[in-house]
Amino acid sequence: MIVERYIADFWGWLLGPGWHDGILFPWLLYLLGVLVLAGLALVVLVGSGWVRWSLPLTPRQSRSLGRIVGYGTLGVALLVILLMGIFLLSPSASSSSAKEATESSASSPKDSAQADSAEGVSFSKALLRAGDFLFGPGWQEGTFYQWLGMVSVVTWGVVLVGLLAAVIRHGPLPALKVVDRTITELAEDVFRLSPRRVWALARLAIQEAVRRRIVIGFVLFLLLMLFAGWYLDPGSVNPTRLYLHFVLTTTGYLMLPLMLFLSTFSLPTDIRTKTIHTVVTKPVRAGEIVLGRVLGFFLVAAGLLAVMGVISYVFVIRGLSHRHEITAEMAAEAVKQAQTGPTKEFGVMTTMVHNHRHAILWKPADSASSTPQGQTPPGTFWLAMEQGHTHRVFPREDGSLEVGPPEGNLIARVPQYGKLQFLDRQGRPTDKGINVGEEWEYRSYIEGDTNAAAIWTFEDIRPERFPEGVLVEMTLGVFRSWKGEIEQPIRGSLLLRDRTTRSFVEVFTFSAKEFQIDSHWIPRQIKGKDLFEHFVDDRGRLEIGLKCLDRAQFFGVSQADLYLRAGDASFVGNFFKGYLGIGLQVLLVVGLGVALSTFLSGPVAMVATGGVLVLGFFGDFMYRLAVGKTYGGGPVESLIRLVTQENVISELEPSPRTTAAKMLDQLASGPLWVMSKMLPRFGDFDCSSFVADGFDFPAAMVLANTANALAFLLPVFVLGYGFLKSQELAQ
Amino acid sequence: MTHRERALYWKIGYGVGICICILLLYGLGAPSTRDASGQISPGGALARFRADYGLTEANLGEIDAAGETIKLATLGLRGVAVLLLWERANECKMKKDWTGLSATLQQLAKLQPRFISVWQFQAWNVAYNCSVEFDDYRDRYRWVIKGIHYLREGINYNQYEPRLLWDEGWFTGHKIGRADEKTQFRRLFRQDDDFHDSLPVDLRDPTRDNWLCGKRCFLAAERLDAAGHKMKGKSPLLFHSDAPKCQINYADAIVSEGSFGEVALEAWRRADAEWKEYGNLKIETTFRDPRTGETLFIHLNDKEHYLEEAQNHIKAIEALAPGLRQQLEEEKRAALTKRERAALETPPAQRTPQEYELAKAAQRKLAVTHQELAQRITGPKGAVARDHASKAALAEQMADYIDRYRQIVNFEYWRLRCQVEQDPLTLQAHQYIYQADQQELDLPQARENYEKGMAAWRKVLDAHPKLLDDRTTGEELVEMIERYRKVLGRIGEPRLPPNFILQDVLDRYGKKGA
Repeated sequence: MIVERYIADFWGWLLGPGWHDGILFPWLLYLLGVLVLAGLALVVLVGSGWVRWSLPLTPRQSRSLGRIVGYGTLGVALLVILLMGIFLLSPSASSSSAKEATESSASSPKDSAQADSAEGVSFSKALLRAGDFLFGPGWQEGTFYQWLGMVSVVTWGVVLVGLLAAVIRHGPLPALKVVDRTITELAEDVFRLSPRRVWALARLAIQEAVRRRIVIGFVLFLLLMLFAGWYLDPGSVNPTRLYLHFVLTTTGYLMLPLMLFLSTFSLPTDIRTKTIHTVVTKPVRAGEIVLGRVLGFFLVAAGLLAVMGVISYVFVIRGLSHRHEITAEMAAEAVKQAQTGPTKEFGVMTTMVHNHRHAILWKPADSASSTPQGQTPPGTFWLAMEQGHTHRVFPREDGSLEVGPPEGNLIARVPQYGKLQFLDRQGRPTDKGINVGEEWEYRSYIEGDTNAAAIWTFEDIRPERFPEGVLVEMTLGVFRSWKGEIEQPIRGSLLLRDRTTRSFVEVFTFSAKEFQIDSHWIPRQIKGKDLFEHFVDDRGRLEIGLKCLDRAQFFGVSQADLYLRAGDASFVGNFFKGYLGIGLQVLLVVGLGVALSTFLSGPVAMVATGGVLVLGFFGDFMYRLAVGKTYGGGPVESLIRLVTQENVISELEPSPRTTAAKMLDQLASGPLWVMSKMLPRFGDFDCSSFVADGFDFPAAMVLANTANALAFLLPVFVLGYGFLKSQELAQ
Repeated sequence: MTHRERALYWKIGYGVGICICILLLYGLGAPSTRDASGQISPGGALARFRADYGLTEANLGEIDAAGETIKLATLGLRGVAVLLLWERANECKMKKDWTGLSATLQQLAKLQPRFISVWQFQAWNVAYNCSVEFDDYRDRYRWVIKGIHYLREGINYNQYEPRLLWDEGWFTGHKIGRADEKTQFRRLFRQDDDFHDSLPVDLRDPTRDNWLCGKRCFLAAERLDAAGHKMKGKSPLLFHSDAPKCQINYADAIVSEGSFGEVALEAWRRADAEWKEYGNLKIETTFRDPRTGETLFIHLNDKEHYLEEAQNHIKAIEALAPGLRQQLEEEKRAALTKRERAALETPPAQRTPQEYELAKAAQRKLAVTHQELAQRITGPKGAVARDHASKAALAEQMADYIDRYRQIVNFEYWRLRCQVEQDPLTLQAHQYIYQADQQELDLPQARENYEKGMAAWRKVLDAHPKLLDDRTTGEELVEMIERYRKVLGRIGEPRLPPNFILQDVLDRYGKKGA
């Protein structure tokens, strides 16, 4: 689930959960400190003119340095591959986490001796322990190490394939020379990359993009926005979500193919028309050509995205903007009904705009308020939430009310999620609640009027962050096993665990509201006890329990269904993050397109990049296909089912055909697995659902996505460089 | 021929070709127009096609630009797009993503505006399957209305399609009036200004009752059917029964909601009249006319007429040979075996399974047919008797056909019910029971009213014993007795009184062992 990734912080995601417990981390920290200090000192010395700084390397020295760095990198990659091989091939270590490994080593000596009998296992355990010692427990869950392993494998794969190609072309000994030269020059080029030259090439790329009528994409976008109003219904259940989803997905769908065309046809056209010679005859390096193009095209895309973002923002605001009318009679009636009780089911309503009305509410001035923070004070009018928004109302002199613009729809809640556990009807801890027979198993259910409960544990709850108390927001599923009182909602209660007695204390009861965010305020003082003194433990942990109170009725919950609202981020900022996600997708496409077009012709490069793009969007499906978690078997079995019109659930008749299909699927699962792991998951960069649903896209995820994109771009860049280098024209 | 002459001929040729094309185009595409006197010209072939097939959206000002653009934008891959959208609609429903579902349904509708089953299926999906996912009855109501609105949209695209109007009638009547939340739904429906304002004028009902609004939709569908836009996939018998049944349901609903005055009486009177009118309707059957061999049409009200006719013919035969029937019966009785006779003489309740079979066979043997009777009459009277016999058999067969059709719609029960409900005594029985149901806190008063109500029901049932032949009334009465029993229990008398006044109802329709 994406939520779990959302809960983990960026560094934990990158370097494994216990990354700061390893011995390497403090040493790296010291080293970094020393480097920073040395750098500062150097800046001061050079700036003041006391030291004259230049890199006085002769071409020969430079080449030697390049060779050292190049082969050093290859050596490290080989070491990583070896370690990874040992780690993956040993049966126990590959499937168990470090914690499990430690537990098994701490079990009875007999078991341990049996387990250690196989040498590979004990070696891998030693490796794990050494890894834990160096990088902290759970290091192997860190994305960085997985990436490093993958890149090492790919690097060596590329080197070996390149060597083979060179052997076929030039013969064994000259091939070694060619490879040696490429490796050395690549490493050397990295040191000699000139930002000035890269920028000059990037500007050329930008000019080319403009010459190639990139603006057509922009015109298309404008046209879409002009006619989008026909398809988008501002009177739908949640129009904000609809509008935001539309602008973000449309932008993505337009930009990706556009940049795909631009990036894949650029270099091949230049090579074909020989215009590339005007560049390569200048003192530029192959790496600069690749980098310049990628940067140039990305800047063009960024510029377009920025303009599209502004237009989309205006489009969304304009599309959702509306005002209702409230006459003096309506206002008077609302006051009357607030005092005497409603005469109509929905109370007094505003005029209808965008297919909805709001109930006009009025609170008597003398009523006590126990509602959440930020609620309207007594003695004033307000409008009920509808379609995910409300409006502010201001009394006019003639008794009517002036209605403000919609509020509460364009927001970016900052949720703090907790870890969810369940208690069964006897009150025993369990991983899951009851399944009430729903096809979608996202929510697990707890039974009413029993000991069943859902408990969320929140970390890092400090008075500085929540000085007034905590705002709990929840979206519950309700399942009735019998009709009950139709007009009465199902009741539930929210509990807090007392840190000393470990028992739960009821904070309040509530009526469940389905398919909407229900906010409740937990104040600092709960029944005379301070929230932080009595309920939050020393490590800043707070446990919140949820119970259903009605017999034989059920509440359905998932981990993300209850969270603490730690404030609101800027909606514009969140909207920007949505576009940043598209920007990262575009960056990947541009990088891949340019790299592939260094050795493939335009159309082929386009198909290849497009293929990666499509497969990247279906990466998760590919993974499930590889590990056999899809209905209907692997590719061959599915094809048989498709042709013979068999359903996807029943087993195929045992026959040689079925056996052959299963064998072929088994064979295909390996490459599928590798591809699903290697190709970038384009879908993961898309944060439109966060923006559309009104949740802040966390900075940790932005960093993680950026790291992901750059991690993918690095080998792609090397690939592009290598192939451009091998082309005669660049030499 | 010079070059210039050749060019001239080509130009003339082009001109003629263009003229022919224009004429063709005019013939095909001329729009339907109305002249100053109000006469409508049918227009060109395309306009006539449009009129014939009801392609109303092609009327000026009603062109659905959005739908056409979407169809164009799919570049001929409409089928694929539709498939993906259906898949997405299913997933949205599974994941309870209601915004996504609504948006997908709109897109589907734009892509397939002429596929009636799409409108029907998805409207049902929204009104029936999605609505129940909500816990709040007000949300449920909104989704039922959403389903009706979706149908309405479909009707706008397909104005000559009675199926969609029929569905609208069914949703408005049955989904709102029969759901578990019918009390709340009916209340909300009456208060729903927006919904009633959105209806076309001919479908608005001043009472704002869901049954009467539903009836208007059914009648509108019947009008379309009568105008030649035939209702597909529904037998005429059932199709035409829905409107009068709505009137019955309306009358029943208002009585159960506490209306016992002239309004209720008038509602039942009207229901009675409409049910009779329905009985007079000429209905196509799946039978063949025994005389002509053509498709048989019947009137539900004619059963009694045919039975009477058959009876007259039988009497005529018997008048030709008095005592012959008894003689024949005696002969047949004498021909029975000993065991058959013994089985027949055993009272039905004491018969063993074997005796039961024997008695049944014996009864079949004893039956004297009209043909047998007629064939025993000889001489000139014989021909007359045979003519009567065949006419009687024909009339009986017609009565049998009608009876089968009557059973499908429970015709006789509803006819009787409409009559019984107009009886002031029945209305009073309802009133007592209603009052008793309201007096939850005043148990002795509630008990008294229940007992008065049951006494009134006793009289009604004695006057119309056939009313209990159908489960509907029986089960309603059993539910009422259960409520009475609960009141007794709360007073401290867990059992029903001895010689309970409606014991026969309990024996027939109550739970076994209750």
